[in-house]
Amino acid sequence: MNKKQIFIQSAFTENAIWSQILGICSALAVTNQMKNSLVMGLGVIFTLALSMLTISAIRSLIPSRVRMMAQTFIIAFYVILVDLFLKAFLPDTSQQLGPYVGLIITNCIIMGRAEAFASKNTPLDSMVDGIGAGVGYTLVLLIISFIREIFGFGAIFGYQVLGSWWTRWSIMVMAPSAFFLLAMLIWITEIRKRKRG
Amino acid sequence: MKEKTNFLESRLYPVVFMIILSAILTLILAFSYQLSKGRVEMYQELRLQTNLLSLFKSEIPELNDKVIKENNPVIMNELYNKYLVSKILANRPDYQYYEFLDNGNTAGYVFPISAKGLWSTIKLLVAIDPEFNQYLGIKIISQGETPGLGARITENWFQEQFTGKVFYQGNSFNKLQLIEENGNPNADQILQITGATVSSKAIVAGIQHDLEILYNQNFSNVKVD
Repeated sequence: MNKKQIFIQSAFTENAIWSQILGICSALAVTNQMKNSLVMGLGVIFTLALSMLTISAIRSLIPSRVRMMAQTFIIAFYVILVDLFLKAFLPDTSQQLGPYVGLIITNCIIMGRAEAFASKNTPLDSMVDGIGAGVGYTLVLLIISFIREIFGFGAIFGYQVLGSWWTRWSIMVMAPSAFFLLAMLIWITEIRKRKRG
Repeated sequence: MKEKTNFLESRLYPVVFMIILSAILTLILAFSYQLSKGRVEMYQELRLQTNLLSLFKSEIPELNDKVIKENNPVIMNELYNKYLVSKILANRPDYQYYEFLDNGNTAGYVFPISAKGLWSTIKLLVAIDPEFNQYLGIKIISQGETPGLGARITENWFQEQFTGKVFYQGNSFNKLQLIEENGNPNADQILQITGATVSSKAIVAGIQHDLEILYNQNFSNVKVD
């Protein structure tokens, strides 16, 4: 498989959220505004890219008995770097995302890709796979947050696009709507997959 | 020599590997933390100073919306040193509060207070006049309520309602009441946020509860008879 195929496979055909149902906890939590989703997505892409690169580069050295521990350690390392960077350079965003940045560590997508791909493939391929999975994740976050923000606030990326005549749907702002939307998204992609056979 | 060739499979290797990995990663993290520490602390300090100063916006001539928006650390620090001084309670050495000075005279107190909201602990600053008669203003500094509903407690109109409300009158504490968002409030009523009764209530109750304790324990002698 070349790098392009790896990317397409991990971002779309085997999208972490709609096809593997991984990483949905954070997809539910940060999707009520597009800006938060985007920053969260970028954080996950960065963490995935670099931790996959590192894990793959030292994969022959990692003892198999402690590999999960080593992988978690490396992932946590990059997440703390992201957190420090946000606190030092984007303090407002950091304030808004609050504890969610730290929770990237527990994002199942990262452990999933480390186990399924980075521990068996070359560093560059793993990095592409990581970026692909991150892009796929960010894409889903943006789709859901677009729907939630436009119905819930009448806005896109914080810019008011629907006037004051728009009655805001409170349900879209609250957590339950993310469950409905995510379920619908998975449903739609499943139907499409089955039609194609 | 047999041991050496098999080191990667030995029982000791995972331990050595984890120790080396921890040492390297922790070293890099400690280094990056040191590098960013100054900036992070500066932002935290700046946020606190801006919040404190904006409570007294109408009393500080140098301060207006433009200065607050620009948020220049040097200017904010200068204003902070000129108008505010931090103090510690005698009976609670870990509790820091602030005194607002106008030409060297105490013109108000600011107390950090926490309230239990629907999802989160809401942290806010409450400013009160030196005799504990009325609120001079409140400022929400951190909260994790529902965006679009409870999180609207950070909107200015909601916070500004507290300015001028009576805290202590005659010989007793004055109780503030909540009424519907589109209602017509009297002097003791606060408009609550539609769909966020819990968050609105939490703030009113939290402020009154904490301030009453502070007043009873530390400030009951401030009243001028």
